[in-house]
Amino acid sequence: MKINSEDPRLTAYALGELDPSEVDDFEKILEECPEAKSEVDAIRGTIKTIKEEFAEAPKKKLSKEQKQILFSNEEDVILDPGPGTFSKVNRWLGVTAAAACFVGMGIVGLRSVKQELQENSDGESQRVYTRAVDPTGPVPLDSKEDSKKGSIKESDLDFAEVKEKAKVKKESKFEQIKQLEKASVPSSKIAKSQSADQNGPIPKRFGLSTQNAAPFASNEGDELASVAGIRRKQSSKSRLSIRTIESSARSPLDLKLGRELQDGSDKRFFNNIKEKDGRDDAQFGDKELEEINGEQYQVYHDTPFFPTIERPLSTFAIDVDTASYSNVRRYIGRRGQLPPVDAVRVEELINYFDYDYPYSGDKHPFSVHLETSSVPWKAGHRLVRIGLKAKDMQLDKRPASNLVFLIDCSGSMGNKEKLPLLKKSLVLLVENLNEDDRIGIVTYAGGAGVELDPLHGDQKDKIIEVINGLRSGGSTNGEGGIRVAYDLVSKNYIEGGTNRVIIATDGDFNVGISNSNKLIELVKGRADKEKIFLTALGFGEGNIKDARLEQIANNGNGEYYYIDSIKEGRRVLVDKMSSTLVTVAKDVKIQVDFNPRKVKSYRLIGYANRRMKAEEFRDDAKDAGEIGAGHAVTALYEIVPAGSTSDEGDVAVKSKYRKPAKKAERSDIVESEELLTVFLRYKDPEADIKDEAEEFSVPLTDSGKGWENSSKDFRFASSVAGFGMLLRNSKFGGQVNYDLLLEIASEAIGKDKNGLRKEFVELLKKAKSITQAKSTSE
Amino acid sequence: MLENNTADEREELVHRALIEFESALIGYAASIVKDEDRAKDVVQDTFIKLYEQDPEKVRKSLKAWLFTVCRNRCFDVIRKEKRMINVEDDQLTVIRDVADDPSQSAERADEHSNVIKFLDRLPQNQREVIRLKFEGDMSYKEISQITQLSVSNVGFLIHAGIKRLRGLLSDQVA
Repeated sequence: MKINSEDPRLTAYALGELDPSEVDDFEKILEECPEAKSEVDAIRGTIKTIKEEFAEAPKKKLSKEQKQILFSNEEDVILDPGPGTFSKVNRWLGVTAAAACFVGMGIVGLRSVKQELQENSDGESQRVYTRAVDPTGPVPLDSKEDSKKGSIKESDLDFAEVKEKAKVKKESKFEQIKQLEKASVPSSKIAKSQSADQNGPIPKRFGLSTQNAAPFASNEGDELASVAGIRRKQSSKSRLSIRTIESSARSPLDLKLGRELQDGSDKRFFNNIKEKDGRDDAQFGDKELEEINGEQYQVYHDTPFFPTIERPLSTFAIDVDTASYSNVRRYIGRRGQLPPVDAVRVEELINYFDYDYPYSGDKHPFSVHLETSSVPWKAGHRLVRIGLKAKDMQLDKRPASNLVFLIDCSGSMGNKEKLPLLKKSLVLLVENLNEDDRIGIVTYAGGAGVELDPLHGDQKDKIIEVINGLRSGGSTNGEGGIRVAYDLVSKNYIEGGTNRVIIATDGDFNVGISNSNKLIELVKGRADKEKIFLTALGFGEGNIKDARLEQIANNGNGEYYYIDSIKEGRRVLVDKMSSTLVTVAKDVKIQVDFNPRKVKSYRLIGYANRRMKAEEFRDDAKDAGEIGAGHAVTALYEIVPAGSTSDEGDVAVKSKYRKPAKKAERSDIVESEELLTVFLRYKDPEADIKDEAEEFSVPLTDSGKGWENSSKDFRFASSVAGFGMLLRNSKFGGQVNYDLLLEIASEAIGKDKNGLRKEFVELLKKAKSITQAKSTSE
Repeated sequence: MLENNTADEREELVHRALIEFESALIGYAASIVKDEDRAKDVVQDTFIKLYEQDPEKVRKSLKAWLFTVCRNRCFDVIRKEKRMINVEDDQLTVIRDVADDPSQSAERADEHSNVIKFLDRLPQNQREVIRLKFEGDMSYKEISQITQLSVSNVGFLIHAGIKRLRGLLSDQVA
């Protein structure tokens, strides 16, 4: 049978898109028809070229400003103060407001007109923002037909609104938009309701604390009318977001739209005012209240100070992940830019480094080392370090490992920082396996399935051959990939050994379970029931799949590493092999009980997404962190000593029904000189969900040691924490700055076997120069 | 211990989508609106729109959702511009089945490699499906969902497009 070269099956076959039922027949045809065969080969050649060129083409990126709109950590303030109040407000808010006003006109203008259009048609302005056009509605290729629908204006307006909305951020971005929109124009209504209930829900809903509204209140007679229509968010980077607004208004589309709309408006004058108030107390105050009322936030905001008298207990799960540090290093070191704030998890930066805490004793699988000293960047405060050190394991005494790698071979893994780096790292690992170990490989894209049925570690050549044969490409097609991997581990389960799935990916979790909750359920279930743990290795560009990888590793009782270089691959898979692979304790939780006689308030540095409720500490069904052989885990607390005049942590509860607590008179406080007690709780890695956990505690009395007498490890960890705070633009950083950190870190390098601390000092220098360049260019 | 906050979920979803599809979406949009800056606006709009969605609903078909919304937005923009310069509706077909002036597109694409440059010489519909296939890493079926073409039609277009590219590439070598 002859095949015409126009037959699309040729290409479909080459792309693996031919219907499975047709493949056999088609292959027979190909055998009989050499022309068709060579045609397929030629097509494959072209496909290869196309793929390569797409892979090599420079990645197109949205501008910084465009992204800023998507991820700004601040909110905009759009005021309608009326002409009379404008100058005052402007003066109060400073120069930045002027620029914002200018660019804001177009944006607010849109809203008013839109509103009016809608009011004219149905008299109900609220509806405007609830109407949604189905964004996924098809547009046929034949756009001629569609264009006749004439819905252009509407859809454009939708987008203008959406853009505007997108600037209101996070919680308020979604839950509050409708109320904000309702409130924004009919200002008289709002003014009334605000007058009626000044401390009521409205200012709060706007994220506006009464204390921040106060300047208006004291300056203006009819102040509330002037704040009506506020949309606000606090800003720590106001200049950036102003640029954002400018840039969005500058696009031809918006300029044009803005003009059209302003023409149709009633010339109402709007101003967009940006408040330059970096230290965001109002928003934070709300959060903190929520915390104190017992609700737990799982946000990546820095944990605030808590007053000991209200909340004596601080509880969190340990975390031995280090991915955030390698990611930060990649950003600063390789790309020459500062990482996104949310990519910086301070505890992962700290835990990246080795600390020389000895393991002492044999009763528990890890020992605890506490230290305290003054804080170089905040006078009067104390820093407390909690260091955990797990018992070490000689490499030759390591229990046998039963590992199955689940490898993402989708097209996106093609670039050289992904699959090729993964392959090299894997080969390193395999070279260090011994005959008791087993390793299997499952891929979940390209050709899905079992690439290597588990082989023993003495068949290294075969294993390496399979690894080197892995290719990326093709659509993701991995139904059941993750189950297959778990089943393979399960089949070869080694009692008392390391049984683990290691997932390696750039974040595409198309592993056969599309719903991420189901995936987590599966991973958690297999960890709980079968004691098969999971480690995640992240590769390539991408910091947020990072969050997913972290989440999955957490639930699979494993760790998450980000491999940015072959050096890091070696560190994780060879140098740290025993700690990566051998878990000595699981569900490790820390609860610190602070003595209110000594501690006025305290703050946990990092571990923002590992915090737990106090009552979860002894809830043994609650999952927590795992610790591997030889691992060191470090957590730092910043403490405001009792009697300090520092008001940090004072924002706490102010209820009209309560008098301010007079600590000295409280009779329920025990006499003790201790600063705090650290409670630790953990389970044996083989324990079940129902099993009771072990618990022990270590008290700490503050010797009043000064910074200069603290250990090198302590000082180094502090400098890393300071670095994290700088990168996160933390408001808790005090006097911290790069020069100070450089000084601290370079003096605390110590033995530094692997050179990582020296590398950190270099990273600090680079971050400093990036920051300087950034501030001069702004 | 898990994140349940919807706002964070949305943020995460947008982040993820951005990292994974940003470049492909811009390339795809640029192939329709013929201008990279406008394409970026379109893509930004698309991501903003993504913020408005319920992450649970979108997550499963994130890629298809993004490309579909991006595509619709591209056509919105084109229609709008047509109206501005007062072009009759029936001239819109230009976008659909006539290739660009090769000299112009070559100029615009000179930073691109050969194949991507030649892609601009293909008819719009072939170019579109090929970008979706290779830049968007999609199956025929996914492409069919986004473009509202039948799977076999997608197959024809990709086949024809690749053939054409092959011709252009070998001409160049010769």
